[in-house]
Amino acid sequence: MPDVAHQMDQLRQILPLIFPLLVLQLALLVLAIIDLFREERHVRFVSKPIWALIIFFVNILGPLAYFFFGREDA
Amino acid sequence: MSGFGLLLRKELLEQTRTMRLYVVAIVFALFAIVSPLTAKYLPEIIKALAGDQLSLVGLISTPIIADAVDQFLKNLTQFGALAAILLAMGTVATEKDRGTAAFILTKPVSRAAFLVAKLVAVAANLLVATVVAGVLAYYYTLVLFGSLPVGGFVAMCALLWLSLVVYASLTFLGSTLTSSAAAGAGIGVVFLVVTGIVSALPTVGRYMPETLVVPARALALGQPASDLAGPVAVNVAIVLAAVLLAWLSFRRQEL
Repeated sequence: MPDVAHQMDQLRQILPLIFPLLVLQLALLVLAIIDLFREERHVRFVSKPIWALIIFFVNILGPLAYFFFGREDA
Repeated sequence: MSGFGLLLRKELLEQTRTMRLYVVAIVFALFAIVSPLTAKYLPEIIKALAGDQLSLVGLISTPIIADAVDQFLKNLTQFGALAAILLAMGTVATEKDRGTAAFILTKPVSRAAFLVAKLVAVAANLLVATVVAGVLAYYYTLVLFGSLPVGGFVAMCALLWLSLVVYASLTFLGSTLTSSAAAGAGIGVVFLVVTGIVSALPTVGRYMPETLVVPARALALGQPASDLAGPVAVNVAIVLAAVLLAWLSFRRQEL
């Protein structure tokens, strides 16, 4: 039990540092997915489902790669 | 400047529809978060990696709050200048190339309004991104190091924004003079290099956008910034001159 308390204490210490990053990651993910599945959106290099996987599974860099390189009129 | 309000609304809508506003703000935010974190933990990471084998370990000083401000200014001036060039490079050139500029100017709007609305929209985008970055950088600096004077930090962000608007306006001038976004970006980069070189010169150097970081840093740390009015006035004048030159060229161009 002291171990769990210690871990919770550590989590509480780093939470103020991690929380804004989590919000940013979530915002990027949502924006990228909304943009990707617009009907008029054309993408480059790989298909839309592959971009969706990249956006979902590559934290922060995935959505950024999509915004900078994936959109045809970017 | 007839039709300015309408054109500005159209430009701002374009910034949001293309997600440019959000993406630039989020990337600025990431740099803002990384800066104080790097200042705080990089010396510890180097020490942990080097162990006792690196004789330089003794030279690594304990991070202080000024390091966080330095990192923030360094990252945001470098990436911010790049973002300003990317945002402004196609503003006019792409619309001329696609023929949409000619179409819009058949409506009852002036060419001056067309130009100014575009630059104001880019400046607004950079302002939102700088505010987001400033808030996050302040928060992380507060958590990791302690508090900074809020007024000074806001003044630092304002100076940072002004320097980014200068890069954007010079690239915007390039974009107006040419018909290609790449050429506009090239002109922006040339101006960036030139102002970078001039900023190293003794007398005129302090009036360049790169050098605004010196008073910005002092203000953020609660120190007095000597001779702020001159450099600010010169940078505002550069923006106005770029807009004027762009208008003088654009009003005679055949679209």
